[in-house]
Amino acid sequence: MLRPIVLAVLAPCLLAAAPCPDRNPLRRPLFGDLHVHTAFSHDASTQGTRTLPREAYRFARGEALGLQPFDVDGRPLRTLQLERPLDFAAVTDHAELLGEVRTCETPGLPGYDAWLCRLHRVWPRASFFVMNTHVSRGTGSRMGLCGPDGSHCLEAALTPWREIVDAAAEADDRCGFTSFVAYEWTASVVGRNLHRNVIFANQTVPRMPSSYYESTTPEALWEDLRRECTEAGTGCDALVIPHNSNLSAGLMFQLPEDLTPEQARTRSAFEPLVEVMQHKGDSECWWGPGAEDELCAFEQLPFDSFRGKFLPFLEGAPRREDTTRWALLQGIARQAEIGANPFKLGQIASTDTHLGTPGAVEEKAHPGHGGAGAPSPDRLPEGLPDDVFFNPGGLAVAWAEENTRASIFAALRRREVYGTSGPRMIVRMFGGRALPDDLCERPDFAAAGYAGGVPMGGDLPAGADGPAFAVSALRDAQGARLERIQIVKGWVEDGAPRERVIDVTEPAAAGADSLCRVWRDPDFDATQPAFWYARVLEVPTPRWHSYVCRARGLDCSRFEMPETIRERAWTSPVWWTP
Amino acid sequence: MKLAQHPLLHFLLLGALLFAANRARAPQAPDSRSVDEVLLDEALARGYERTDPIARRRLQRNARFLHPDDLRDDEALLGEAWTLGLHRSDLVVRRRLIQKMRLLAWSRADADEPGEPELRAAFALRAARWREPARVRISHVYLSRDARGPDLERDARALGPLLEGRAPEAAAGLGDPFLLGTQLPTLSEAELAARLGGDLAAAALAAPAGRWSGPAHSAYGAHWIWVHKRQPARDLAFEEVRPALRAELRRRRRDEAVRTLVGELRG
Repeated sequence: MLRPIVLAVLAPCLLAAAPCPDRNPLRRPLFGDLHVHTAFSHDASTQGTRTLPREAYRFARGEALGLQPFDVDGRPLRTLQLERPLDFAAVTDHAELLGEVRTCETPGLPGYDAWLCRLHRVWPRASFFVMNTHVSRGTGSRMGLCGPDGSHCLEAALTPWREIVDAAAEADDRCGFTSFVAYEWTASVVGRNLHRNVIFANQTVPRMPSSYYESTTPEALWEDLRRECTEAGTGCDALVIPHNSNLSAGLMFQLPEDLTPEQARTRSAFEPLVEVMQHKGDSECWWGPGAEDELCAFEQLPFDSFRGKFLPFLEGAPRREDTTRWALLQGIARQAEIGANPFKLGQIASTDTHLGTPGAVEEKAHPGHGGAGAPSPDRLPEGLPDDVFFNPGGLAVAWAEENTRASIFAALRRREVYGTSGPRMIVRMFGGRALPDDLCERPDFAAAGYAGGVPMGGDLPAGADGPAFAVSALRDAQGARLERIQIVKGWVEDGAPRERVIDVTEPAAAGADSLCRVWRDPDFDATQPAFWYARVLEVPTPRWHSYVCRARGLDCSRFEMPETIRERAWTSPVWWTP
Repeated sequence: MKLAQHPLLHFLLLGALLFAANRARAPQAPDSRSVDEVLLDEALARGYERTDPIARRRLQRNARFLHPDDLRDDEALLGEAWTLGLHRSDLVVRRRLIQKMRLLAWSRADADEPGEPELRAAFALRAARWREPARVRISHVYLSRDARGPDLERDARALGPLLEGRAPEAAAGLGDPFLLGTQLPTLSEAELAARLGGDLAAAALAAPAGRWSGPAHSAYGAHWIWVHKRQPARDLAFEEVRPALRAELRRRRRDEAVRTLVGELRG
């Protein structure tokens, strides 16, 4: 009895003690996708997706995948394969479709009255212990609640959630490829989106995910996660990543006026990251009358929620308060007011594919991620494979020592991550007072950056001098050239949030392979809370629908979307708190 | 005319005889239902539309939508939904029930793990498939195409003699800064090509270890390469691929289990 427990306690320590052969203490960029739907999501399966989690992970690792539509014999009419496999991925199916009959908790089901179920209802921990020791003894017999031949349990033995958890375990290949057990909490309030992905650190996860049925507010979700995961004493750990604030009609980043510091800290403890861009549009910043940052006119949806997409009379224009930049500004404003920042958000991107195709971000080969596009049950769709204002989505990039769950999860937690709109550009950013001015000319950018500052996602340490920010970017070896690096600064002045976008490298029309700049903030005021993040732009390249229009001879002049796209990367910010 | 001799009677009798004979001879009409239809019918026969929580929630929601002013509770509305046959018409409920049947078939397949002989036989059948590509760990000195423009090739050639006799650690300052650093992780040709582009990957795989080779070209410019360690391509041993083999066999068994179940249900 004792031996398995001792092993279970020791195993993580033993694993942690064995670094990968190519572990790099200065960290390397790993590319992944943390938002992937498979046929376990109803909006994916109803439009013909048959990919399941195991196949999605194999696709992420480079295997070809058959895609809908399928012919009568079940043969796919399309196939897709990543030219470059991903380093990590998480399947995030909608929890609302993962619910299962809980034999012990559903009166009237066979087995409900079995002695173990009665025990479970009055003393759950004891029954958990009995059930687990029973299973781990491996006698092959099933307990009373499963019926004489075990059939009651067999019918509930393989559930979608079990399949998701097992698929992640099977796909995780220490040092080679990382998977995460995950799901999407799909809350929406009258069509206004509050969706969030829950990413677990390891295989120790709740028995069932807390869905919108169990937890109807983000606060209730965090409370469920606290109770069943982070404070359950089981080794479970999780973080929550909100997405598509652009479809929330003002709801995603709405805070109560009387937000307490405790509430702000709980929010930022569970939600260290936000998805800045994906298949259903960009959420970084707002473009509209009076806006100054022209580069915000990028993959913006024409409406502010899904009710606007389907019921045009309810359509609202995109809102500034639905952008991640606005949230970051509100965060530091609250910091100044109550001493805690509810929106200390690092930034990533992902696909939100509903085809089970993590990392399928090529503009040249966008299959239409489908979930909200036109369903195509049995033949190739005519025209565009997706609504023209949707896009292939982006990638999440983590600066991690090695390709392991522990290393990548730690990078997500400390926000040393960035997002790209698809291309694999490398972007590194440090902020600090002791960064050398010649950092860009030195061969040891990373070592000197860590020595003299903090990486993206970090906090500037105390000190009166103005900080410097070093940003270095290398283009995607198979992508377009880089046009410029910008730093987006937000600060609070006289109680009001302010923002400014600074070109820290001259725009280069022909583009460059790499760009680098050490920039000192001339307006730094140590009494004002502030953040800085980098935005790196490529030169314009054809947008996905232009490729389709050209290949299929379609007249695409009627579309309002531009024919080209300014692909880009957004880093997590560095913060200053007085 | 006696009734027994009436031609109409003979005609009818003969017809009835022929009909009976034909029926006896003809094979039973094949079950023309698709796989999904077979699974759905079975799920409904088992009453899953009544026990499955997703189906129940969905049907309650649909019934509420049809009767927005109905004050009856969810249970009563659920009864209404079943009476109306909403569980047959709703796409989400149908998909869910079909999926449940598939998972049931899979759990039957999973109950029986593939044995050692089966794993070894599968391995022997396609051992050549389990091959790990050659990998190489390099340091490099980089010359930027952006910075050097038309002088890139001249500078790259001139760098050769300067590198003579220098260890990689002592050579870092001779080139231009490179964001990914001067030492790369152990990578295959495909992985190197994905990261750096150009012919550098092929050159790195072909270069001798322990001395400088070059210049080779990436998407970013020219590089001199130092190979630290080369890991030749190799066939993986059975034990190394056991988990992958087990997963593959289980996948096949699951497909087979669904086929078997559908076969049983079709009779």
